[in-house]
Amino acid sequence: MILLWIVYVLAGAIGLMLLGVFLRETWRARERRRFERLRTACTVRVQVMQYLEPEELAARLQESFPLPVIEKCLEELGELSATPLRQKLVQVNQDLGIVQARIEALRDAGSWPERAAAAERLGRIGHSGAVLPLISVLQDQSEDKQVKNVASLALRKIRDPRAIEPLVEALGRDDAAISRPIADVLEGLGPHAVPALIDVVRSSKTDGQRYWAARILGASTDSQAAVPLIAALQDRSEKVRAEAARSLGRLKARQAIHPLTDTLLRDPRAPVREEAARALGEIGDERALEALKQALGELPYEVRAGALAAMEKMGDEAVPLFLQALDEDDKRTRTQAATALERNGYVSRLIERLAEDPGKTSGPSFRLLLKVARTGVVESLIQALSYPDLRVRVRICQLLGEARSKSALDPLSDVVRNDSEWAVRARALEALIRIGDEQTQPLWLRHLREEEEEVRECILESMRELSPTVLQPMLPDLLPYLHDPNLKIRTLMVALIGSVRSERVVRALIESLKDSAADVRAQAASVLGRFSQGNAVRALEQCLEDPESLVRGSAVRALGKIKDSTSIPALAQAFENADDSYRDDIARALAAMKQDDVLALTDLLMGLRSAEARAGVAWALGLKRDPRALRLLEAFLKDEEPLVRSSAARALGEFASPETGALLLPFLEDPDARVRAATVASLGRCQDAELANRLVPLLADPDLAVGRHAALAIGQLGHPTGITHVQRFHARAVDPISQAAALIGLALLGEQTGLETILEGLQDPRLAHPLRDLIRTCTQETQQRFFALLALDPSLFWLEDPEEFRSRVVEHYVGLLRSSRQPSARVRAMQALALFAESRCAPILETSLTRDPNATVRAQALTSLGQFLEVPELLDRLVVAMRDPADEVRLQAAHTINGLNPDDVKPYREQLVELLETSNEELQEAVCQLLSRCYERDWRALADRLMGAERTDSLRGLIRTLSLIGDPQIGVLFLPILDHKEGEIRELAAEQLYHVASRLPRESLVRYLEDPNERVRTAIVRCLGKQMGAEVVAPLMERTLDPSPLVRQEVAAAFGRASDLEDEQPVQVLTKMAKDGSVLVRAQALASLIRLGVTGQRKIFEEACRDLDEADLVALRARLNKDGTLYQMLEIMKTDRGVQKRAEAVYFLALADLERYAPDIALALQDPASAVRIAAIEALGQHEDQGIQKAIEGLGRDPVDAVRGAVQRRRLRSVSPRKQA
Amino acid sequence: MDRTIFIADDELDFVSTLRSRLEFEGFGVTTAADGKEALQRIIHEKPDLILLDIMMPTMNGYQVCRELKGNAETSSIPILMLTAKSQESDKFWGREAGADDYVTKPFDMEELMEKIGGLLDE
Repeated sequence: MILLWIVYVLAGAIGLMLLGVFLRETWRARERRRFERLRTACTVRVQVMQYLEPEELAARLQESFPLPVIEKCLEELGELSATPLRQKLVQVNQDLGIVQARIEALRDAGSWPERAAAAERLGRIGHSGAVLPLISVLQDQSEDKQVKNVASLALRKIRDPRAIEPLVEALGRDDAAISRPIADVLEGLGPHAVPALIDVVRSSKTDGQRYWAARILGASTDSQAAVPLIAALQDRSEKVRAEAARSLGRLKARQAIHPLTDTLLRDPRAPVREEAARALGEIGDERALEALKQALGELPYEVRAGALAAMEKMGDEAVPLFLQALDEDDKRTRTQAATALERNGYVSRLIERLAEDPGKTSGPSFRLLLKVARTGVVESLIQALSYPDLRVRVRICQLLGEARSKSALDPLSDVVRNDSEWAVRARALEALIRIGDEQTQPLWLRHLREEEEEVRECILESMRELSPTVLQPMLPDLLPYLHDPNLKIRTLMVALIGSVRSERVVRALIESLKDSAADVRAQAASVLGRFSQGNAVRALEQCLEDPESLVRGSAVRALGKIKDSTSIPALAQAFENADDSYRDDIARALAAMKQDDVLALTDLLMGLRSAEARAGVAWALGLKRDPRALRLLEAFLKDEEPLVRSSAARALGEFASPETGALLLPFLEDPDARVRAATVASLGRCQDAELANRLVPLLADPDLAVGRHAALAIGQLGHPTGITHVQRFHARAVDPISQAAALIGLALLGEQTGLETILEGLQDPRLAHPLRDLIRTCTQETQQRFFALLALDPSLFWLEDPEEFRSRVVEHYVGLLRSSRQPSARVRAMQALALFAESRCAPILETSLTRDPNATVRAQALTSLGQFLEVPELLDRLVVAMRDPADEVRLQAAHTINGLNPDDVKPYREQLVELLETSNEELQEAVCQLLSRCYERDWRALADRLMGAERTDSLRGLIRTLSLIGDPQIGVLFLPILDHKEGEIRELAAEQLYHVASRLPRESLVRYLEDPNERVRTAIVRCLGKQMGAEVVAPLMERTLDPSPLVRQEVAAAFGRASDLEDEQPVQVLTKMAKDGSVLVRAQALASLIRLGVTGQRKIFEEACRDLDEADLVALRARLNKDGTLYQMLEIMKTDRGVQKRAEAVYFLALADLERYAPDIALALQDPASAVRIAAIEALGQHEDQGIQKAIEGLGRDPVDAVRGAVQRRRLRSVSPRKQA
Repeated sequence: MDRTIFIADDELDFVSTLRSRLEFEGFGVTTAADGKEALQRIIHEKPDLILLDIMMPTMNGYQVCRELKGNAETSSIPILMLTAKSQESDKFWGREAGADDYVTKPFDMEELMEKIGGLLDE
């Protein structure tokens, strides 16, 4: 029951609801109809009243219609109407407050659909007042995304010029979220926005704002924009610069060509350069090509890409540049260039030219197309496979094959199946095999059955590059062609299957050994050498009897490879009918065998009937270099046949050891010249330099060949005494072969002229052949040594054409100089280049001079340049060399300068002065020497430079140069330099003054005695002391208190020269100085006193020594010895007429250095004056030497009492200053 | 005139006709009927001009031509290819092999003489 009620109630409720819905919908429909009616009326009203002012129109509308109707109506009309009316309607919207209401809704509405609707409405209205609110929406991070999207769309719809200002301003916020939509709006506003944007580009402080302005200007199509954009190419922001370039391209601004090329070449940033390149392409002016070409050399790919994209727009003008780009290292660049060439039709034109291309695959069109094809751009080529001209089709197949173009597999297969010309099919097959896809294998094999021999040959020839694993499964198809009627095909086939290791192949090859053609048999024999099966060996042995020597030779080499000892007898026997073409090969084959197996067959080998065979075996034993074979070789050396003996001698040379020398020596006297020659040659390899002496007599052998071998052998042994003998042999030699041998010998002895003469000789047709032939006969090691000494590539050595030789050798040495890692090779290269006197090599030598990492090489570069450069150029190089960090190079520069003739240099002496700027003394000295001779007569020209010189080095050099010239008048020039700020320079000037300043006013020097630099003061004292006068005594006396011992020493020396002075002052000063704190000053004072010839030195000396310790005494003694003072005293002791002086000298010497001077003092024991004898006795009294003591005893009978007394007293006296101290 | 012309062809009738005509013109004539033999003899004899048939036993004309042109000693001797084949490919391959000119059999004897004269003058 209750349930029933519930049902009733529910049904009632549903019924009521349905009724409500029905009523509401009816009402809404009515409202809609009414709204539509009103809207139509409103629209009509607006159209009727459109000529009224906006305010009036707004007022009228408001009188008659509700606001929503007006809004809707205006919205629709706005979208449909022409601009003037639309703008008026926008104003009406504003006046009616609709805009404001929407803006408020946009800002404040609670739900996002409402805000989105408001935004959309604002867009439709298009009033500029909406701009900022819309922008705020975009910037509002919390705003819904949908609303933002709508706002962004709405912004774009606002075409109101009044919006420009706020929009441009908003760009300044540099906010990624709003910049793009704003830019779109501004772009939409077209020319109206341009002036404001130009302002921004010119003066905005925000990078982002300038960027967007530049970007929008590019879309403006307004030519005014070009100028500010050009200016913006210099913008500080990289982004702005790039965008300005891009915009200039969009504007196609021709006036921007120059600024853009400038940017392209010089802008520091790659993206900017890239945009500049692209822009230049957009503008499409050929003036830009040169710059674009340069940009291709730029490293970053982006820039190249820009340049290439630009060039592509320039049509055919740019073709050469694309072709150049095909050689770029970067693959993407190459591909881009190839694509461009294909797109602009150049590839098709090249294809057409293929038909006329000279020289098969070396023609220009072919080579260019190959470059294109290698980038993978092959579409045009594939299409050309159906070109009517057969020649083109053939070349295209070759191109696709060489480019290994996988995408051409199917088209090429079609060609093979369908092309009517066999020449094309042949090349297409060749290409397919080269590309090497296994899918196409059946096709190759099918076409092997083609009737045309050339097609078969092409296929087989191409298959040679395939690997054995690919070939193996094809064997059944291939083997029948071993019986092809064509000889070449059979030969090719043998070579082809020979790479596959299988029993079946061996059988087939053995079969081919019976082929009717010798070529095939020889090839089969040669290939069988790769198989070691017994049946192969037997078959090859049989081949040794083949009527054709070609086949026999192949068989011998093959057996040599297999190294099966069972074939030794057959091989030895093969010497019997061997010819020159393979005799050595038999020896090598035997040498390759296991030596035990060979030696086991000694009896057989010794018993070989023919001399050729025995000689051959001997040679083979030599090749193996097994010491156990020496016995056998010794036996062969005693063979009755000279051929065998010479062969054995030659073989012994292979051992290259001193021991074999002893075995060989007796055979230097063999009656047969061949044996002597072989012996000499072998001794040359024995590595025992002493053997050279034994070979010297052989230089005069009646047989020329022996003499030549001796010359070579002596060279190989490298004994330096050999040089003179070989030189004599060279002088004697009349025939070119002997001369050549002598030259090689000399070269191997490391003789410089030998090496140089060889390089020259190689250009002399008379000598060139013998030189080459002889080197060919030398051993590998000798050849290597020879070429290493020459630093020459062996392949060049064999070049026969003198012109070619010369140019290639120069090229080689130039290359060597550039790339060799060995400094010695680079040095040799330069010597050679200087020899060839190739002045065109000067640039590379200069490069070596400046860049080579090795100092020796740089030094050699200077030497070599010196050999052919004129003086002025050489001076330039010397400047470089003088700045070199390595002493060696600077030294070489000095040598070079020393070697210059002053007369040659004189015209360029100004340049030479520049060379003074070096801190290397040795070098500067050299320059100074040379300069002093160049300026000898007019040194005043240098004096001017002295005044103007700023650098210390130059100044030092100039001072030195002038003082070398040594004119007394020069001294005055140095006086002002004494005021120079650098002590070193003042010092130098002062020192040089001494040489030139004899006429200097002394008073002017006195004031420099106060110089802070001790060396300057020393030098000045020296100058003043050179000619002591009364006027300098006082200032010099002051200097006795100088803090520097150097100065005081010099003062002491100066007073020593004051002998002209009457007064006692100098002696007093010196006596005082003899007690100076410095030992050296004391020594000098003593020396000066002696020089002045004062008496009483003994006392002074004793005083001077009183407070000295052992070390100081030694120093004092050394100093007095060194400056010759003691020697002077010795002279006085021996020769002075003054008795007192002689006696003083004895004391002095004894005090100074008794040990050393005792024998001299002993002479004074015989002095005629008793005072001197007494002095000597006192001095030597304690000396330990027996002879001296005896001499003193002898004076015990002296006629003078005092002397006898002295002898008595001597044991009580002691004079050693050491003991006093 | 002691200039020699070498004929390499295995059609003996043709060779003898050609030989009499050439000898009549004052040339020395040597012949070979096999590719391999022709090659060896030409290297040995160094004639002034070679008439080379393409289809020969052991080695064909192209192969002989390639060998001769690849050999420094014989590369300067002019070669006139003779063939009964008339495909475009034959002519092309001959040029590729280094032949200086090409005549298709059967040919007009005067035309051949003209070509021989032309090649020898060069």
